[in-house]
Amino acid sequence: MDPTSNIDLILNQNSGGRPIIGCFPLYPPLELFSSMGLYPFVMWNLKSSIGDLTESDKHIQSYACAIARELVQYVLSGSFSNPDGIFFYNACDTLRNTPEILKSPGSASGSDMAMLQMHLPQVNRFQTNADDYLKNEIEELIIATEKAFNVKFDPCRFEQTVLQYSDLREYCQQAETKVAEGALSFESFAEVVMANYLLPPELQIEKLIDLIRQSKSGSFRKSPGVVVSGIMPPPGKVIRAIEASGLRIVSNDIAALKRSYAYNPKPTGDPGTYYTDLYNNRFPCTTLLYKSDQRLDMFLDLVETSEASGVIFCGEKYCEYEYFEFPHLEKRLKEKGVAILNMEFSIDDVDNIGAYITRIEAFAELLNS
Amino acid sequence: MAQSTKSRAGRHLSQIMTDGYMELHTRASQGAFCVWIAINVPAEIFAGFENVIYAVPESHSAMCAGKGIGAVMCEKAEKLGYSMDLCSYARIDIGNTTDNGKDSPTFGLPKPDLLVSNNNNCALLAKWFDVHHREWSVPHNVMDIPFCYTPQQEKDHRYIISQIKDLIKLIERLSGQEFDAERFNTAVHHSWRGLKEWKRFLHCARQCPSPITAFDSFVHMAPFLTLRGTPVMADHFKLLADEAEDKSATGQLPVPGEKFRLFWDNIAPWHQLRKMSKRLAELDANIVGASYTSCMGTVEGSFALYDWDEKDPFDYIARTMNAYMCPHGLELRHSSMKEAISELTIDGIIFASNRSCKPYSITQMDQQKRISEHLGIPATMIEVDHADVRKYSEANAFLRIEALLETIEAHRKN
Repeated sequence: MDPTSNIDLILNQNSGGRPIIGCFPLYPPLELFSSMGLYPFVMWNLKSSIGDLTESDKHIQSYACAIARELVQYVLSGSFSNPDGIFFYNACDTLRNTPEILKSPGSASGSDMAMLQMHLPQVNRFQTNADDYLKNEIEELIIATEKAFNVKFDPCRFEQTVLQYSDLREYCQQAETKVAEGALSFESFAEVVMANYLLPPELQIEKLIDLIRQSKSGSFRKSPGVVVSGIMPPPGKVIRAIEASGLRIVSNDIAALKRSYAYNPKPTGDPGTYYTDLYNNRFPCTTLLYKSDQRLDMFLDLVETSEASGVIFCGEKYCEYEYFEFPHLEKRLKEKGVAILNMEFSIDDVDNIGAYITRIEAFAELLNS
Repeated sequence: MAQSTKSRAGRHLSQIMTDGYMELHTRASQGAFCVWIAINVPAEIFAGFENVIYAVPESHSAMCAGKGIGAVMCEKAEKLGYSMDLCSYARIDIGNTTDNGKDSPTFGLPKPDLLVSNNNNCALLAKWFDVHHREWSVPHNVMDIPFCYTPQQEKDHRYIISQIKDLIKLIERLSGQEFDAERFNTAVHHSWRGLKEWKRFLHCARQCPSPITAFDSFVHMAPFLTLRGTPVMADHFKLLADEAEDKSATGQLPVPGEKFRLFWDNIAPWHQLRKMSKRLAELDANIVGASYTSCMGTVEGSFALYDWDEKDPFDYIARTMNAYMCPHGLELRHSSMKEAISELTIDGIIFASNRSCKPYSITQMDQQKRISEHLGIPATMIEVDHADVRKYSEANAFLRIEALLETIEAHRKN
């Protein structure tokens, strides 16, 4: 059974009565909420839980991405217990318009769900210093959270939580290294990391330690390496097909994976300093406009240092942030002799993967030849 | 109905737009520092410099679509690998750069020395300008304007002003020119005068039957984008308003048998202006207002002109960077539309669900429900792409529009 198939059960089993806060993707301040005694989880990877999109389709158009449609379905379907609160930030044009839909009068989500928000500065850091703005946003978020949930911020608890998340990111990186070596499958790695988004940090760490223990020892055949890029990892069946074709996923540039755990800020009890560091220095994502210049260099560097001979772009249908970049990245990679496979996943493609498998096999043949 | 012969304001528009593009190319060729901007970057800033010019790719793309060459230019971008799902303005612009504006009615745009985008109309503009930034190694400045669920907050206003001032320093550094605050102040006053005239023009639609259509406003908004901060723009809007008032006084009506007064929500369907206005007029329907053009010079939650005290131009341009619809959430948009429905005596609303503009379109389904259920105003949703005709079906659109008109009739009978 897919680990996210019963979200309510997982959240209720693990929250221990803490208020549950559903966070919009992509990069919410999880450490902050966690340290304040809340139970944050990121509302993505919901496909296997929500069934259909009937409720979402009444509110947002079918040309919104799967992440947004599934999120709306999850909150508005009435099939799940509502989180006690929702956190959102300016992650993308579609997601910024979604909170008011979730809170619309007469919606299943009701009116007593706390809505917490911040604006993540997207201005070029070389042009305007936005650190003070961001620090103020974090301060205001703390005040709003304290008020909404009758909790108190504590710098010591924050620092402890930050250390826990730091360990968590370290374990993610260790597991990723095992995948690159061929000692672990990317499929099991991605499955654990994605399922972890519903779990508290201590349990996430346990799952990752278990995963790392399962890795094989010894030396492995050095099959052609590929980097997988996108917002979400491709569907399990597609990852299986990539690995079965003899390709080794030597690194990833996935928003829900590496772009989330690659940078570990210096631990501190000051949330303003911590999040300024984290957001300013995190692995560049297509959605972080101020990271645009670094993104190109870091992506090319990632491909080079991982010695990948190919890149598989897993496009999230209708995610324009990603699609504006593909042609230029493709051009730059081709100049370096790196082969490209472009795949696109929309809402129903998880069930119809025959064509993907054929393309993956052809790509593997190309890289093996 | 679209008129076969241009009015005085129509002829004037053609002239000033042609002159504007000619001047743009001429000055660029003579070494002026050229900036490409997103539409709600306050262009008055550039007037503060002796020799800085600006071009607006969105406006140029709209013009290309209006001239019927949008799809051709989109295809050029698609051949480079840009997805058909991307904004058609962006595809037209990227396509245009592949052959230096070979098919463009304005011979394209002069190459930029600086790109300035912002993220409140849509963050994708930053991604779009990044395409040029990477391809041409031209600096790209992203202005970060916080999205509004409530009217603009003081902290955001301060943040925007700091970015405007930083942008000025950047231009000074890159162009080697000094910013003149007085020239800038004068430009802001020209815009302010022009916007007052624009509102006078739009207010003519309050008359039943209306002497203007929203299509007039779509066509005539262009100077606000490409000639912002100039007396030419202000004078044009005065001429336009005078002409509309004159038509009103003399009974020259675009839809003489106006039976249905409609409101349009989304970007103009540039490739359909003439066809759609003609066909609507044949149905005695007039789109008398549009959120797209009503929001110029306004701020969140109302289509009323933002009342400037004419003191601090920085304060004014930072405050009105939240004009347009996309920078606001559902509640604020609803508030503006509710006001327009009442002031313009609207019978029905056309929500144009626009695949090329998600920021404008997401929330429309809830908005439609609110308008219909809470205000009792019939509404329909049609599928449109603002600049890519390949994603528009006239038959489907009019099937829904005609059904809307029938619903309005039925409402009246009840």
